[in-house]
Amino acid sequence: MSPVAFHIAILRAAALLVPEPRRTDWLAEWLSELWHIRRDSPGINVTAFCMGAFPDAFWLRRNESGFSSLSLLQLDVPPTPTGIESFPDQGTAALASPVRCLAWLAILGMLCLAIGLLLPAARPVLLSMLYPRDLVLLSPLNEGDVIADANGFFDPRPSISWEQFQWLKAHDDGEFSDLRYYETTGLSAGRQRHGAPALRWTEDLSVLPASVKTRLVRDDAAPNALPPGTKGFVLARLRHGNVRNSHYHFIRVSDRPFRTLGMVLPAFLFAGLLLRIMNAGSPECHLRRISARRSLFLAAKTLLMALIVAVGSLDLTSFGHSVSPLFLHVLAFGSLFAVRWIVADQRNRCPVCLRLLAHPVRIGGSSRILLEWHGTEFMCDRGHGMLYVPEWPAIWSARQRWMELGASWGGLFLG
Amino acid sequence: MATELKLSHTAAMILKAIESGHVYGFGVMEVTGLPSGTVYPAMRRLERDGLIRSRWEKQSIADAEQRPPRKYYTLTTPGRATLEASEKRYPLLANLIPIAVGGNA
Repeated sequence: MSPVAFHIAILRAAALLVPEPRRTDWLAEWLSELWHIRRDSPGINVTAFCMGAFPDAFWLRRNESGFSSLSLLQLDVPPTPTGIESFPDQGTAALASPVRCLAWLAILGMLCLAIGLLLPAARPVLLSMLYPRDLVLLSPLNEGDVIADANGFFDPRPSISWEQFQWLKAHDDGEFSDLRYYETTGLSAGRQRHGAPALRWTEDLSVLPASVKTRLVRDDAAPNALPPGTKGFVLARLRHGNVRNSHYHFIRVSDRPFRTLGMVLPAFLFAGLLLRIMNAGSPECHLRRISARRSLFLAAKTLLMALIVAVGSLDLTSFGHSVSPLFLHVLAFGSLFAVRWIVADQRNRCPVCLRLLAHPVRIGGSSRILLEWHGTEFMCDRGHGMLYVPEWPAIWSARQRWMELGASWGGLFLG
Repeated sequence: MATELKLSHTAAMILKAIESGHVYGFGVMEVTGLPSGTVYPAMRRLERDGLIRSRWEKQSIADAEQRPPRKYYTLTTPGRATLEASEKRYPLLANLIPIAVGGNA
């Protein structure tokens, strides 16, 4: 991709964040500035300039999506004597509709996946999810070099010589099929983790971890030309669920993603438990009402967030050609934030139409908590009801309260 | 009301730059030394608050010079009043921003 195309791509990506009515004008201004910069200021860092389009686009999205008429001057107005004050929503318009919320999460998940597929360390982990469960790596049991390292990451080493492979093949009792020997042709310097290089197959499979180059040996006579002591890998298919033969030590190739991405489920469960203990994730009265639509939305949102957290953590901790052990820490913290957001988002949605509640109005004052209710009221745009959120818990208003509005209110609302 | 608006130093610098004749985004960036991620959102905010206004250059002028048209920013009357108030608050502001060639200050 040429630099010009790259810079235009950055601006077009940022333009997606700009509200639709202003997008064309916004993009035209940035493209024009880009053109002039490239012509008049050759020494400038054009990429850094283009990256500035993102804060600009974010600003427009946050400030021009429904509350553009509110200016700083209006916010300086003192509270009214009744203690009622309205304030704008902050950047929630994009997620207001449940469909748009899921669409944004799906886009974010796809973005994480795309970034992961571009990263040398994350790509094999993601792609190896596609491997069948019966695909295994073998090593002689006495050497036991095909191991998972201390952090649970699958980290095999070249361990089998051609002679050992022939012996293993001769003594196979039908436990394995399709036995293949991959000869090691080179190690990439400086790309080892814990002294154990990972694999990259050059034929048939091209997605296992990089840093060791291998070649599939098809011709039985070929290894004779190899220098003595050359070692490689044996890949096979498992015929049965269990292996009785004691000559082999094996590991399933598909265990690799299981050991990394598979951790997101326990991480989510742990985060949910932690939040429940802290009472931050406790269901409010209106959340306890079960409906198929809400349950489906919650399930879809949780799945997408799990994908984002798992792949996002992998992306963030992929340095060079290896995944950092920090992956587990990032995953744990990411899960905590994700579960917290899922609960908060579900709590702030209308239980009927699942749209985000809007028009927040602050009522009362903290100094008068003994005399009147103090907190924030949210309203459903479609008029399904109102949510009362107490600012400080009191005896009569310790938790959020949902009040349904009857059909007689329908005339006051849209839709 | 606008004259009572207190600007940050950054916003005041941008306002001063525009007043000094640096009338498009990159010009403001160059003269203030601020990054694009600061200048453009600040100019959106100033425009939203009515202190500056933007207009596209005529297509015919750009066509004659074989380049795309630029978006130019100018101060509004409340913007000038706010800048005057800001210059009292930040006395060195005028020294920081050189007047552009053909500028109106």
